[in-house]
Amino acid sequence: VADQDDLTVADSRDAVTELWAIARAVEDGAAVVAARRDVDNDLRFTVAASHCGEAADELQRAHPGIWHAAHPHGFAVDFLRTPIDDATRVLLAALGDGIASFDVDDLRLTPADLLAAGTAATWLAMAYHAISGRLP
Amino acid sequence: VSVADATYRELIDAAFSAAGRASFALMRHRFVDGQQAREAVAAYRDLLDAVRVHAHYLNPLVRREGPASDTSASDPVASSDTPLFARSIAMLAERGRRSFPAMNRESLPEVALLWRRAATSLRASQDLLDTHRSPDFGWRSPDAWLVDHAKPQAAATESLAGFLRAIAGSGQALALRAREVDRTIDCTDILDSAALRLAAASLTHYAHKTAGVPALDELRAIREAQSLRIDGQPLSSAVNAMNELRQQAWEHARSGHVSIRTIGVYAALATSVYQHAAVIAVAGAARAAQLHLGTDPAATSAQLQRSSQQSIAAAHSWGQVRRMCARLKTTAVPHPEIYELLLAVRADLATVTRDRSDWRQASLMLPDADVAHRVFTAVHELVASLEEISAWHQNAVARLAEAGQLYIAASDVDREQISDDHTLAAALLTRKPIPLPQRQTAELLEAFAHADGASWSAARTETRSDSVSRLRRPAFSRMREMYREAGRPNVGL
Repeated sequence: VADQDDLTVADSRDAVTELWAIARAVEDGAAVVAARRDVDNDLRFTVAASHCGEAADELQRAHPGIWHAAHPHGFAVDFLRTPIDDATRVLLAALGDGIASFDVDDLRLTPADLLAAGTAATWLAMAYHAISGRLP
Repeated sequence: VSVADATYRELIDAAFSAAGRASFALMRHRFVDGQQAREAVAAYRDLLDAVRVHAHYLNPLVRREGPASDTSASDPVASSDTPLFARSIAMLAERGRRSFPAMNRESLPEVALLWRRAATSLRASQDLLDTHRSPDFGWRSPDAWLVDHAKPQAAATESLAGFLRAIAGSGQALALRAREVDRTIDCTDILDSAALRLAAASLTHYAHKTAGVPALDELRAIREAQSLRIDGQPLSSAVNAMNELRQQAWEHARSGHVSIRTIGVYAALATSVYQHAAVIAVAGAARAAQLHLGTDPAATSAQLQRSSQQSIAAAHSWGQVRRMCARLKTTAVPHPEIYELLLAVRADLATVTRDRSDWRQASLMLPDADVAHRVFTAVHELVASLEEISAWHQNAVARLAEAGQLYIAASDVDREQISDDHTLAAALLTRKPIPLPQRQTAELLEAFAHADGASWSAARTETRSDSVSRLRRPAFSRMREMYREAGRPNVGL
């Protein structure tokens, strides 16, 4: 389940917008999982959702209109019904992919973009840590 | 951009980029051993120290009073009287530590290298600002006042606070990463990033007390500013020479031995530059439609016509000042290098505007839109420098007049004045210079005031012609405009 196909890229986006879309998607997904009755430790998902919100906020500070240009990624799983372990793997894969796939050498990135993206990546890593207990 | 050529903003941006890359490097690579982890922690603490020192440097109050001597760093809300800035500094001081890499650069983990690079850029940006100051915090350049001004400081502090907020979270991630390989590494203080976030918030809050103007962003090191070489562009020699003249004029106007003869050379310079600027503006007005200058070529043409008229008025005013200065006597030694720089400016302008003894046709002067933009940008720089020089010299002449240091040959005084004053008659007989009489002094000061006003009008018109030229220092222009409007054009002197 937890492979890259779970990330549905609707259109071509620049690196910062892509990172924002992932952060928002995982924020929503983790919040849904955290609210499920069958989750043992809902706090780790709540904290992860919060960290992803911080990541998205960080990018939105650099680009206030980013939410006009992008939509959160859609996942190929239904977080309300997918088994918790599978849902966890999807969320972790999305976070790991978001951090790993960001092209820091993209010449279109301004220094402020890079700094904001780096901070957002740190928040995503902390979300990963909140869910899994370790860094990506 | 090399460190030597960089502006303050470019160095800060280099720190931003390096810190952003470091965050990704930290998340993508694990440490192979405890030594690498320790190097990364040391590099992070070194970066925090660079932020602290830079924030401290940007704030003159804290610099004078010492770094938060009365502050409880562990309890930032303990004292409501403690300045926000000092609290931030104290929290940074607890976590930051100056250090140097213990390993070869090749062996350092990427994240440590990048944090070291960010710290180096921050320190270099401070060194850049420091080149404008003398060791006792005096001023060494006409831009030094910006370093001590609250508005540029506030803008730079806000930027630094944003940087600190961004790197605050990296400490937490670093501590977790380091403990993957060695749980004994001393990093518990950075594991909780809340304190650093609070420090960043305090810095931001402090910076917001003043409406910032990012004029420091445009500064280069003084050595580079003096001899900034802009080559391969139209009028590059003129701009280079004018940069040197600007520095020399500022030093001259501040010195205790102001020479009216030197001021007269600058008046000749202004006359010449404004004449050429007027011709170039007229050519631009004629070519605006063909070259599609600006978003509305008709409006651009009208604006360039106005600019030309302002330049003609300024040239006339400075011509009058130059003639009045030429009649005055001085024992001051002339500065041939200033005259040579004047000739360099004039010669370079002539390469654009003149064909031997004739003015060049507009189509040859401004053959295409690209050349036109470059020429107008260069002219804008020349006129902007003249506006400052004008203000400084008006102030210098007022000082000379007040001190009774203006002299004239008795033969140049009206016969009526000589008849009324026997000392003037005696001076005429002995052919000695006499103090400039009150009426002529008033006329001279009035001529300077008129010429300075014309310079400001010409510079302001040029500033608003941004559709045909690019402002090299827009924030600085805002600062000048602010002080002109406040009636303090000689700020920074």
